[in-house]
Order: sequence, then C-alpha cells, then structure tokens
Amino acid sequence: MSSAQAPILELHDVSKNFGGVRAVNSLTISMKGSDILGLIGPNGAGKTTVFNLMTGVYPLSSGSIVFDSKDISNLPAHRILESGIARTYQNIRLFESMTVYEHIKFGQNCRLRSRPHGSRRGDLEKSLKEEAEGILDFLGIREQGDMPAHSLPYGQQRRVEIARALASQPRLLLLDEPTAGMNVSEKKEVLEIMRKLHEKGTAILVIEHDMRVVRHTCNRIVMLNFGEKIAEGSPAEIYKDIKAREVYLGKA
Amino acid sequence: MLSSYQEGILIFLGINILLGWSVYLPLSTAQASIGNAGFMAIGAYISSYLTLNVGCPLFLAIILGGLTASLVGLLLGLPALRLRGIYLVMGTLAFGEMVRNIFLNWEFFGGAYGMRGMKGTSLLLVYFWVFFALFCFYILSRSRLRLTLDSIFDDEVVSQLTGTNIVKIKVGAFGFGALLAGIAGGLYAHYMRFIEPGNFSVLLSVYMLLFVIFGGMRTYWGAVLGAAVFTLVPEISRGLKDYRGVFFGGLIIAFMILRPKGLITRDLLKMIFYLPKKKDPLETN
Amino acid sequence: MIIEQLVNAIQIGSTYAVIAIAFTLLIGVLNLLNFAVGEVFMLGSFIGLTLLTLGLPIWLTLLLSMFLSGLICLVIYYFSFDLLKGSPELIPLVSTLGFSILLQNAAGLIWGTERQPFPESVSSQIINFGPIAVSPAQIVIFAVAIILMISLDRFIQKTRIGRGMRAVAENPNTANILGINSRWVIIVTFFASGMLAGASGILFSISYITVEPLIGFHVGIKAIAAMIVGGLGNIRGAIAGGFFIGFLEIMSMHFLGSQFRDIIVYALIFATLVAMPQGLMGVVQQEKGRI
Repeated sequence: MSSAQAPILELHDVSKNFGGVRAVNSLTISMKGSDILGLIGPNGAGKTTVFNLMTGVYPLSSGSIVFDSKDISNLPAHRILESGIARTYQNIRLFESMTVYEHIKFGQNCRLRSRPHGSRRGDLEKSLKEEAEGILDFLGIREQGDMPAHSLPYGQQRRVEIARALASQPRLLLLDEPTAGMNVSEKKEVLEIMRKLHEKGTAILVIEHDMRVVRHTCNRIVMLNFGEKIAEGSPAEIYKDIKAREVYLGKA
Repeated sequence: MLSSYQEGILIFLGINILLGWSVYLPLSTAQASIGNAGFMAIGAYISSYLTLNVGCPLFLAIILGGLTASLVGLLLGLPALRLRGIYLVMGTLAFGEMVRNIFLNWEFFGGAYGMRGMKGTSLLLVYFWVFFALFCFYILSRSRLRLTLDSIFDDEVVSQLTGTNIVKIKVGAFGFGALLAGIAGGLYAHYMRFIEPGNFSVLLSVYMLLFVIFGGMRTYWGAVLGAAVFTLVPEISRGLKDYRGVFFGGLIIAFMILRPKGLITRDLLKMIFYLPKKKDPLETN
Repeated sequence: MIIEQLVNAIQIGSTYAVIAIAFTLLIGVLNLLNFAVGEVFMLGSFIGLTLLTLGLPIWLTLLLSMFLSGLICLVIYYFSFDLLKGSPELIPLVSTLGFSILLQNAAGLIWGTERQPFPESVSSQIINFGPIAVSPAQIVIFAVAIILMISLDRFIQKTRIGRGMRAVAENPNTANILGINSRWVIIVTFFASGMLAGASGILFSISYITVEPLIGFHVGIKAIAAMIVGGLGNIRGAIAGGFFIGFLEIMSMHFLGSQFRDIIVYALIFATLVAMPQGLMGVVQQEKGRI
C-alpha cells in the first residue's frame, strides 16, 4: 500500500553521552522513503555522531531508532547493514589492500548471507557480478575497476566509497559530507548521482556544509547545534529561518 | 634416496611451515599472537597420550590433538577480541607460558620429565598436511572470505559497518590457527619421540611470528619462505657457533629497518604472476 | 613469620614496581611494548657485577649502571624506533624482540651463560626493630626504589620535558602542534626507561644475590603482569601492580610452593586482560568507534 508515505526512519528521543558530554540530546527525526534529508549544522553539532548511532558504532544512551518498522536501536553494526542502511565517511576510509572492484565485491558479501534458501550460489554470483559492473558504470569508474582504490584521485575515491555502500543494495544511504574537498564540477557529479539514486527509490540522509548542494538535492532539512535539533523544514523554510536568526542574532 | 639427516630437515621444514601458517591466519585479521607454542603443545601432548596409552592410530591422534588445540583456540579467541595490538601480544604471551607451565606441573602428562616413546611421523604424513593446508589456502585466496579478512586487517570498524561479523571471523581465524599449530605439534611429537614442556617456549612462538614477518605477512607464501629460511639458515650458519644468537637478533633488527613488509609482498606476487598476462594497471597512470 | 614474608614482599614488590615503570613509560608515552626492557634490566645487573668486582662502591655502581643502561636503551631507541618511524605497531615490537634475543646472547658471550653470584654489597644481616625483622639490604632496596619513584614523579609533574611526556602520551599530534619537541621527549623517555630498568636489575641482584642472562625474560614477564594488573600506560598502576605481583609471588611460594608461582602470574595476566582490561587503576583505551 502506501509504504512510500510511512516513515522509513524514525529517531525517537535519541540521546548519547560520552562521559560527561552530551553529544546528542533528545533528538527526534522522521524521514520518508522518498526523502533526501539534509543534516546541517556547525562543526561539532553531533551530525556524524547521529550517523554512528544509527549504524551501530556505539550504543544509544537513551531513546530508540526504528528503521523500516524494525527497532535497530542496539543491533550490532553488521546486522544494521543487513537491514538496509549503508554509509560513507567524513574522511574517506577505503581498504588499502583492495582494488575498486573488490570494494564492491566485498560490499556484496552480506547479500550472499541473506539469500533465499532455494537459490543456487553460482547463479547469485553471476547476477552479483553483473550488478557490480552496473555499479561501476553508474558511478563512472568502470575503467578504474582493477586499480588499487587508494591510488585513485580524491574525487574518484569518494565514488568508490559510494560504490561500496551501494553494493549492499541499501534502502537508506547515509552520506557524510560527500562533496567535501571537491571543486564545482565534481560536486555537480555527486548531485547527479544523488538525484539518480533518489529516482531509483533509495532514501538518502546527507550531512553537508555546502548549502548549495543542500538546496539542490534535499527536500527536507534538519539543523542541529550542540546535539539538539534547532530547526526543521523544507529548504525554503530553513532559509527563511536562518535569515530570521541572522537578523536577531547578527550572523551568529 | 634421502639420508635420515636430510629427511629430518625436510620434516622440520614441513612442521615449521604449518607453524608459520598458524600465526599467519590470525595475523591476517590483525591479531598478532606469540602464544601458538601453547597450541602446539596441546596438540603434541594430546596426540602423544592417545597413541601411547589408548592405541589410537597416528593419523587420527594427530587430528584429535589438533581439534583439541583448536577448541582451546576458539575459547581463547573470544576474550582475545577485547585486546588490540600490544595488549593481545601480551595476552597470548601469557597464554603460551601458562600452557607450558601447566604441562610442567601436570604429572599426568609427565611433568618436567615429559612424554617419550612416540613414533610414526613420516615425510609423507607431514607433507600430506602441508599440501592439504596449501590447497585450502589457495582456495581461500581466491574466495570472498579473503576479501573479508583483508577488510578486517585494513580497517576493522569499517569492515563491521560493511556487514562483517567480526566475532565469527576473528575467533574463527584464531581457532583455525590453533588447529594448524596443534597438528604441527602432533607431527613434531611423533618425530622427536620425546617431548617436554621446555620445547614449547615463548621463543618458539616468537620464531613462528618471525617466519611470517620475514617471509611476508599478507600472503600465505610468506610463511613458506620464512619457514624455509629459518629451517635452512641455522644449518648454514653453524659456523657462527656461539655468535648465532647475536647474529640472529641483529638480523631481525636489520630486517625491520630494511624490509618490514617481508620478502614476499602482494605487489611482488602481482609483478611475478600477473605481468605476463595483464598490463599492470599501475602503469597506466 | 608473616611479618617477615610481608617485608620480603615489599622488597621484591618495590623492585618489580621499578621495572614495571620502565615498561610503562614507553607504553604510556609511545604505545610501544619494548620487549628488550627485560634485557636492559639484566644488563644492569651484569654491569653492576663487573663494577663491583672492580671494587667500586655500591652507590657508584648503581649510578653508573643506571647511566649505562640508559645509553643501551638509547641504542634500542635508534634502531627500533627512530629508524622505523611511521611503521605499523607490530614492526617496532618485533624489532625489540630482535634486541631481546641479541642482548641475551651478547650477555652470555661476555659474561657466560651460567648463573653467577652477585657480590654482597649491602649487609643481609637481619636486624630486629621490635616485631619487625629487616636487613639493611632490604631497607636500601626499598629506599632506593621509593627515591626513584618519587624522582620520576617529580620529573614528570614539574619539569618541562616531563610535561612534554604527558602531552605526547595524551596526543602526539597536538603535542607537536603545541611546539613540544617530541623527539627530545621520546629520547628522554627511552633513557629514563633504561635507567629504571638498570636500577631495578641491581636491586634485584642485591635481593637474590645472583645474575644470569635468562633473568631478563622471567622478570620481564612479571613486569608485564604488574603493568596489566595495575593498569597499562599508567605509572601509579605499574607501582601498584609491582607490589601486588611481589606480594602474590611471596605468598604463593610460602603457601603453595614455588612451582605454582609462575602459573599464578600468567593466569593473573590473562584473567585481568579478559575481565578487567583497565587493571586496578587504569582507564580503558577506547579505540573502538573512532570515526
């Protein structure tokens, strides 16, 4: 039925303490499967921490996270990936020993584990291989397939990270500053990739500092500061909101 | 035909290769262990007891010794997950010494006197295991599991976040490493005909680690080369007599400075095996 | 009887505490497990043996031996650390293993591999102070150990280089940015580690009146046990751990017999690492989740 309208991701009152520091405070976010949600805010606002909580890097201090109607609050990281959430990282983290293609192949490992019982492994391997090549084409890195991933230029390395995430066929993709360090044309390519993924039905949650990127891709924005949600809405609404804040607070 | 001296060298070579692999496997998941002499001891003692007192056929006894060692390895592997880097080294050091001390004080297994009278290891038996393991490593190197192991070595956290069940793989690596060491122990005991706790010291564990580090720690051929060098060089360096230890220590220090990745690296293998077939992708840049 | 064992425990415990600190300094500041510290300990003993045999008084022997041990540790610094900058953790560790083997064998070549007696330099005659029976040797050992520990503590807290050590221990990158000359800090750390190891060697030989090349390995293990139980990378923990191990050793020898002494130590290392990785006084190094 209308599963496109039911929220795909819900954070209920999520908090995280590190020792005495409250990194995330009673955060509530709701996101639909058709959304591209932008998570913005100054450095240290807790955005990457939210990603880490969602993907099981560390446990929640309180609250819950529900993905696709399943409570994933304290699942181990590899189970969360199997549920359908994949991510990229603020500082690119590729595997030094692997080629570009191997990153995708590795990313597909979880698909083999959760395959239907009747299917033959050989058939699945064949279709995975085709899929992997499709991902290489989709991200424009076909030629670099057999090259060691860490030898590629920065922009292509980011794409390898995205490719690895896509390999698990996620329903939700978390992108952590995907355009950091890129020039304008590279950023446009990333926008294009995000748009195409959105068309294919993948929900995207993106942390970004570049407001132009946010304006061109996101249909909703959540603004964080000091671990709390301080604003939420469409890009237009947020824009008005920021302008309003700047008037009151003088460009804080 | 081979003289019994030459045969002995080859048997030792085979056993050392297995021991090198027993360290290589956990090391490929970034778990450095210097306690594998403990697993070797377990395999040696259990298999010896079985052949001497229960009339168990040698082949089966060695397998059972290996399985016992691997069971202990799995049990050790679980808490070992909490330890990283130097802490794991210390923990495995303690484990190996603990095992040695337990056998030293356990009269059931002969205590300080050890066990004697075992026999039966042949060149054929040793190399059966070596080639069997070699075959398994070959299959492993072309499998998806190899990518998983590499991912853990390169970046464990990201590997987990990309779907790897770290617990299963790391503990499994520990257990299988222990299995190899246990089998090597059984072969060793039935060749030497006599074992005592002093045979399974930390120094032996350190040597095993050195096989892999010298030979190359990212490929299973590294342990083979390392074991070969360590088995044959002492024969060659007999002339050094008392200076062997100093020479050996100095060699390790020099090696870490000059070629820390080991003699056989993946790049080297690629150059040797792939260059004739495919154009080296690095050259297109 | 118990008091006598307690005194013995304090005596040996303080010796272990000093060598545990030697290990801990390098782990805390550099995250380096230097396997050769045990051998520096052993060489300190042998150098002491030679100096005493040449007729030097014990206090001068101690100072010279500490100085030379510090220099030996600097050699280790150069080959196992300085030349290997940027290598993964395992490589310097293996290099120190190489030094351990080299130094052990070198000592055997120079002084012989047999266990040798250490000249009696301080009286071991037991004197009675009321209920407490101690010998001058025991008092000296304890006093020297305490002086060393206090000196180190003052050094780390009060001097510039000492503060540099703490800074590098916390965060090497930040330390560099703040203008701390980490090269000098590291050199001083190695030298201090060597000095303490050598001193501990002399103290140990005064206690047990023997020296032999293999002693480095055995005491090294105990020092590692002390560090782990007390809390890794943490000087106070090393001290607590050293006394604990000494206490445990004396008590288990007294009640259980010496063969169990070693098993208990190893089992303890193991159990602590598993159940209580932070030791008695340390803080767990949270490496997981660095994203």
